Amino acid sequence: MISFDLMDTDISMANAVRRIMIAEVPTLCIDLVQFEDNTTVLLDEIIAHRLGLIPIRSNKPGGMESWTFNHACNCDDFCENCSVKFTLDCDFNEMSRNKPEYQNKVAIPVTSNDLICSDPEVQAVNFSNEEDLQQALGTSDGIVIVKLGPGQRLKLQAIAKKGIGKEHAKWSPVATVALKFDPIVKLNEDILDQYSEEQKMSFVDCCPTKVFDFDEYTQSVVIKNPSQCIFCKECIYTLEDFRRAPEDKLAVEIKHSPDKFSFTVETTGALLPKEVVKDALSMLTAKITKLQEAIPALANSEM
Amino acid sequence: PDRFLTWHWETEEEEERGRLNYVPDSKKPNAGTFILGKEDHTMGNLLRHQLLRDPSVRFAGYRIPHPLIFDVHVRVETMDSKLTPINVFESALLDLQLETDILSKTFEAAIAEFDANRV
Repeated sequence: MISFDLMDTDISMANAVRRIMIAEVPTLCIDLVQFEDNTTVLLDEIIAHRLGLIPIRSNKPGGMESWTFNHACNCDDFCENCSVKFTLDCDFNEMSRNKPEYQNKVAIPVTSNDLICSDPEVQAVNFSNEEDLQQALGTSDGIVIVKLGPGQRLKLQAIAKKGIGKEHAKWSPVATVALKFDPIVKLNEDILDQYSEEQKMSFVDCCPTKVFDFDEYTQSVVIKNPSQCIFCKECIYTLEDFRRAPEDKLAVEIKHSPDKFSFTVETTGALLPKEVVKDALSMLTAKITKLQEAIPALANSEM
Repeated sequence: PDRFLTWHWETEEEEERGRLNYVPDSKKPNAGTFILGKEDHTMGNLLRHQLLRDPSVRFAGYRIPHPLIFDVHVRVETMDSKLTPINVFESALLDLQLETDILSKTFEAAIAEFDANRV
């Protein structure tokens, strides 16, 4: 998860980058599932749906660009360049025999750790940053797919393909992208001076993120953390109670900054956040370049 | 229509024909509509905003006529015939391309700096 500030650009660019991060950065996800045996409590299609949502990380050098889309690939059906095969084979009786911790359990969970991949550089993940991954490697359980009861068995093969979030949300690499305007907070000193100390204290206290502070020495309100403002308007409501007439101006003015934004990107683990942002920016450049290339044809047909 | 058609072109020739088209306005001079295939608000809003920053553009707007037909119509009208809508569109795209280039370079530099400081 990373956060960064974007400056000197406008909101449409920030929004375009945000939209591309959510919908158009490609990842790998399970898309085709072939069941051999399923005696669990969940239906085939439900298990297939759950498998599709598991984030899959590829450590191949070159990142996601080294994978081709399945429909664009020159191979017949599936090949190594456009897809990855996963197998899963879980049997309650076997698992309770082999693993001592499952001896007396009523229901054994089948997790994403049981998904075995044919390509050693690809694996299912459930962490969103590298520190967590290093700490918990080998000790975590993985994402639970289904729980097996006595005598139940699940055996399937799955194929993962490259896709983008526009087609199905499972391919979206981000958990959330938060885009926030930076606030511009201005205090009107003249009006503030008219208020009593109590009023100033309650004004400072009403802000939930402590944007303001009361300076004891000068007995005045100062702005402490302007970028933490969340635009909740608590201060404006408090000041509206204080002022004597409705047409008086308010002591504080809070505006959105038109060219400074803060992004917070949190991913599912399929891609690192910096990879997501890098891919998003390069996809935006590619879109613009493709339109630019199409212009000469336009100009010719115009003439 | 199928969901993958929001971004996937069936054939290459369809892609060449459909990616960008221009329809000049029959009633006004110096006005026309660009039709972008397989695009959505991501590019539409970006182009419209950039066009509005150009002082020689009198009118710029975008719309998506129907949510199930994945096209964006961008209507541009210029002040006079010295610059046609196509010229203005081209310069807007050039500005955007330069801006995204600077963005990606700045981002990569910032990431490198952050990693260097962390280690």
